[in-house]
Amino acid sequence: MTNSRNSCFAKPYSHIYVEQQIAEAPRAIDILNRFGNAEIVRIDTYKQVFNRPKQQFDLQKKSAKIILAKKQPPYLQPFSNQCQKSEFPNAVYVTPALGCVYDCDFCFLHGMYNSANIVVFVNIDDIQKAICKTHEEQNRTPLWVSISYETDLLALDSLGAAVAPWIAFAHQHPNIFMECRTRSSAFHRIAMHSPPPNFILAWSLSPREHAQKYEHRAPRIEQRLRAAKEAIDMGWKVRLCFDPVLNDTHLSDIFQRLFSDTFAQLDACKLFDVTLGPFRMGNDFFKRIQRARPQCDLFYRKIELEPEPFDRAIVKEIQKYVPREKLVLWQSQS
Amino acid sequence: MNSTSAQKTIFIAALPFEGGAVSDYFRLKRIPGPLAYFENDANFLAVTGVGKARCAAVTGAALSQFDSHSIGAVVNIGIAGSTDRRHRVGDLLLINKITEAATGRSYFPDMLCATQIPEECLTTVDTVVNEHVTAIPENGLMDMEAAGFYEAASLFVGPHKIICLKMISDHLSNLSKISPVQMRQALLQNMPQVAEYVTAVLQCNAQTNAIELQPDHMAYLNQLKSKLRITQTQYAVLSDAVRRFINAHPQQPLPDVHLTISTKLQKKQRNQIVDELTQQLLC
Ligand code: SF4
Repeated sequence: MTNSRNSCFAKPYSHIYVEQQIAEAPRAIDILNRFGNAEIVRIDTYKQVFNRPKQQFDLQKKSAKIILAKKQPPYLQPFSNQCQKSEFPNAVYVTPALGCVYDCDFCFLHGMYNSANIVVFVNIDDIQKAICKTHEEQNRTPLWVSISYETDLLALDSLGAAVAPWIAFAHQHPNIFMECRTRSSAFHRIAMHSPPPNFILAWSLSPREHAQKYEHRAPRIEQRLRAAKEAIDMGWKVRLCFDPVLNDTHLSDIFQRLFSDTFAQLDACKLFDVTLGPFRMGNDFFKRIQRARPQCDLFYRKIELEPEPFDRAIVKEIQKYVPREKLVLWQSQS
Repeated sequence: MNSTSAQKTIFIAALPFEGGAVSDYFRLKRIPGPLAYFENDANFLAVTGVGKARCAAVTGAALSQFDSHSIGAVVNIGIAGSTDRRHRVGDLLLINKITEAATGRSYFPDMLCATQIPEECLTTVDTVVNEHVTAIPENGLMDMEAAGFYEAASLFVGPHKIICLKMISDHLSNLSKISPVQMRQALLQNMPQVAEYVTAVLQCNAQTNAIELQPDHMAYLNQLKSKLRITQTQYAVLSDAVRRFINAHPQQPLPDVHLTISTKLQKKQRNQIVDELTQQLLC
């Protein structure tokens, strides 16, 4: 089982670590069947593997493993103030998985976790029940749930139907709104489902120059745009997130190109909305990534961790394409 | 072993015949002293004696002689019994999970490297287990050291540098039938496979982007620390800047500023030097 990109490395997902307690769960069995040649290692809790000290994130990325586990409460988390302020007062995120198949230099996950392995929680039912309970407790006022927060759920779909259970859940609970943020182009994996009106597919987009440099393994911008267009055409609610906007010398030029390319293909009026978010990261995470990624210039520039108001030129530029009521500029949760 | 950039591979074996196979294969020389240490330029071997406590103690003592960045890999090599009759005596297996029977704690070496060596889990027990003992903790292999080895090794290096390879000696029944001399011979026959796997792990690990500071970089930083009386935070900032500099300019020496620094500078002046130096390193 070698990995053609890095020949001495084992193929990604050559090993699947399985918590004993969920080894017989249907979702675990489904994923294990997809990776029939993988070496199965039984574990008591995912933390035994995921939280080991002194793990080398970048090496693990070259041969990531899957960890199948049971999510323990609390299932719902409040957003940190690094997140985009939601239009809903009741906004939470859930973590059906931890870790991502892509490898963006600016991703906070690298600062948050020791491991590049991917934890898939197979008890989605428990998470969904907890969402319903919270919704009930809040007298069924609309609830906003981010389902792709510490992962990229659509990208993860190839490991085992990760998004479909959430689409079904959205259909059953019209007053619970879900956002699935992604850099994936794998819309085809969910295209057969009818689009729930309360389910937002949110594509993160960056200028080509930044995507090539910092968004390793993620699909090209053109592929993401194609996927977004297909989704819109099939009646899905689509949000575009120009996030993170990274400082650069020719910032307004490269964003001018990105906006014009994007809106040549997508009709802004058909979008759910468009968000613009600066680079933001907690100081501790920043320091950890800086140490782990000395090759990445992003962490060695003078960078404002507390984001400043947007470059006016970029805002002006995007307003040429996006109606004011559809444009959401980043605001802290706090 | 083709270690990268003067890193050493540290072998840990419990029994003299296990260490003997390693020593024969790499032509190691005994280091005079109370502990059974052997070495050549690229490899080091410690023979620990039987049992996880001894193994942990000697592994810790052996590894503490090295800077952690100079350790390429730490390899526990030896024999183990198997509960699985499909394993044949003499088979070499790569261990992906080590469980300590007494505590139930498990340890997991990283399995990043491609290999043909079959994998298995292993339980470390405190007393000899035979087929008449009904309470075998978990199917797989049994030994008496690996958990102690892993626990000690993980204090020094990450799971990507820890390797555990075991050769099947028995099926918890016929241990006495094979002599230590035969066992040493059988282990020696497996050594090319062991060496190949360790080399592959070293190659994988060499592909990291993380930069481990070498002794000369540490000396540079420590000199700045004492001359400029810098804070912990400034030390951390300068360390990261040094890493960045090494990455960006691998051939260039670090800026030679510290030799000209007077120790009588005021705090403000010292801070200014640290800021300027950080900027210089990041350029
Ligand atoms: S796609 Fe998102 S979650 Fe995945 S690495 Fe990039 S920023 Fe992180």
